[in-house]
Amino acid sequence: MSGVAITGLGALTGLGDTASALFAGLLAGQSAARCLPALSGTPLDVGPLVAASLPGEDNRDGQALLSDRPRATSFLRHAASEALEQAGLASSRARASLRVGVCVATTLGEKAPWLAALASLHKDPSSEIPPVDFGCALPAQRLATALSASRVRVISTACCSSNSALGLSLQWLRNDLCDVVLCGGVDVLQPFVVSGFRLLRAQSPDICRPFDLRRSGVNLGEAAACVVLESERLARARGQQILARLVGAGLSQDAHHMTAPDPQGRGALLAMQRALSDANVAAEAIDFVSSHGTGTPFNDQMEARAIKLLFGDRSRHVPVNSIKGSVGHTLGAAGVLEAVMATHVLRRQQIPATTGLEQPDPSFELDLVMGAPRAYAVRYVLSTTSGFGGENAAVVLASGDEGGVLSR
Amino acid sequence: MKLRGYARLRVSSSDSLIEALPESSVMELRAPIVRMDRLCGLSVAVVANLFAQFPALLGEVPPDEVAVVLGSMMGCHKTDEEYYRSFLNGQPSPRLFASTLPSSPNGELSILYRLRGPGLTVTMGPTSGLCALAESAMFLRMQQAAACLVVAVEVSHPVLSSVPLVDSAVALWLTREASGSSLASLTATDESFHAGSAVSALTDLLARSPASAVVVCDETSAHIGAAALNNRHIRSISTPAGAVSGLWALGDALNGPEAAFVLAGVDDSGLAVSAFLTR
Repeated sequence: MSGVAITGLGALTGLGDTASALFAGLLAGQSAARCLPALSGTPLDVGPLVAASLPGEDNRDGQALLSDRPRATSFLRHAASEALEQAGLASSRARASLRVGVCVATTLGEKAPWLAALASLHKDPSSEIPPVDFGCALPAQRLATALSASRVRVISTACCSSNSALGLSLQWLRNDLCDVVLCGGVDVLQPFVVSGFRLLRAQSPDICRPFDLRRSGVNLGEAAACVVLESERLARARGQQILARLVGAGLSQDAHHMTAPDPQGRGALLAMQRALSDANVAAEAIDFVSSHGTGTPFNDQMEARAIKLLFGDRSRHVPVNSIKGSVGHTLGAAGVLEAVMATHVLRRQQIPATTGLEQPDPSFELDLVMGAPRAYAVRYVLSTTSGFGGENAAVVLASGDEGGVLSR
Repeated sequence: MKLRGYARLRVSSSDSLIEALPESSVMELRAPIVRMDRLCGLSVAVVANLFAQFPALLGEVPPDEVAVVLGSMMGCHKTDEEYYRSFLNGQPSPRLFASTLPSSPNGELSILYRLRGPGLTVTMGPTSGLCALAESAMFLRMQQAAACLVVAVEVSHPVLSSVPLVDSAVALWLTREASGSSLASLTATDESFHAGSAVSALTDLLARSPASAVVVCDETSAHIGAAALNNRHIRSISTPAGAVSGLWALGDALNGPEAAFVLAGVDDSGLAVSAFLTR
């Protein structure tokens, strides 16, 4: 199957409001996780979280988490603007003759106004609530309207939503349903999800330590990330630099448990195998794995097992990292955020270390990148995500230059 | 693509879903349904009815090659609301939180029937069911699945929703090839997005649709009043609201007089989606 070009990147994370700031922070080993003063002493005082600030917003204390502002829509629009600017598609004139698709992943969508209205009702059951705009689709619909898009989709398949959205965007382009696809992921921190992760004991009271012996859960984070995808032919015709290529995607379901992954990693393995098959790339060609790496005991164990099953003996020699110790678990944004990181890796040939990882769990037997970034020749990246309900989605990215291709 | 099986279900929000199960499934599904939230329970109940009516389907394709594709407009908002109220009351419920994802039914269905193909959940407006059908057709066309279990589901409205819904669901089974009898052939899907203008989106879509007969739900019919129709015969069908509307209308069309028809739906955001079927 043919791949498509990535020509624009955008990100808003706890490490900053650009994709470059994200990668610089990752290379520097920074963690944006901290206990948020605004939540101190409340039921939401759950340990380190990763809050992000929109331009003009100072959210270092986490105050915005308690607001009723529609922040998800603003987050998505910010990341989209950056990606479109880099792709030379910021102006409506540049997009005029193109069929633009918008494919957005989210688990929560725009919930803050709805949560605030429910809280008002709780305080005063007789109060009259004005109509509120909320819902999973709202950020995407607003963005699609602003861009005069010809196609729009909202995907909400748990924490693998955005790799699923990348896969769908790839199919749209392969089937010539769009000329350009803006594929994004967004989720912002809200009391709703913070309290829930605490209840499920998935949120760590400590900093997130993916693949570490002491790992104790996620640090929830908020982010938006976007990539601009188009055919390589169109990118060249427009004179755009091909930053990297999205060459394959694969989805699967564990069929095991609603809140725990298959401990054997069979579902995640299936998704990775399907992504490689879709890309027509052999496992031997993969130079780097961007893992889901949430830092929960079960996820990391499952993922390590799946990686070992995929690579066999070679699993000890394929670099693996997780960025969740730096930016937190950003739920519906996670996959696209990792695609942004992977694109930088392919261009810079440097793999960020796994922040928070100090004592690797020896049972994993993986080549975990830790301590410092690693200079490494990377042509193919496998990025994998998994979510509640046993959903899995993986994508394969390749360097922007044609280079040699090691096919199956 | 072949439509091999179809089932639909509408129940009152106070009805027990056990009553909605086919007799052959009650023993097996009673306990799982009791522990599920309404969205998952309804999805499982309609799929149990599908497999009761078309028992051969599950055995025809390896479960690793069956995709589960869900469409829902409101998704798990009812469960979200119940969970958040429990949080505001100081007694948050872990059981409820575990179901606060629109894709929860995908997980429950894959576990119950051991399905390991792709899983995808679409959460748009009332077109979500037709979008799920379109994505399923894509999975089949791109050979990423051999069969798709397509489910559209809506649970009656939470307090703050402005859209009155009833508990309703549709399930259908789509395959790449017909290994047995089929209800209809799905030849193509199409869509058009005209931001904020449902009428423009419909006009655009119907102008390029291949059949003269167009089957819609009542909500879409209201938009068609102003759309350019080019002498097309419109059949409007009363359906439950939300994502189930388009696929619910399909059930009536399968028993209707048209040998070939376009199933069309639209939402207020300006997204129109269609599917072309022949019986």
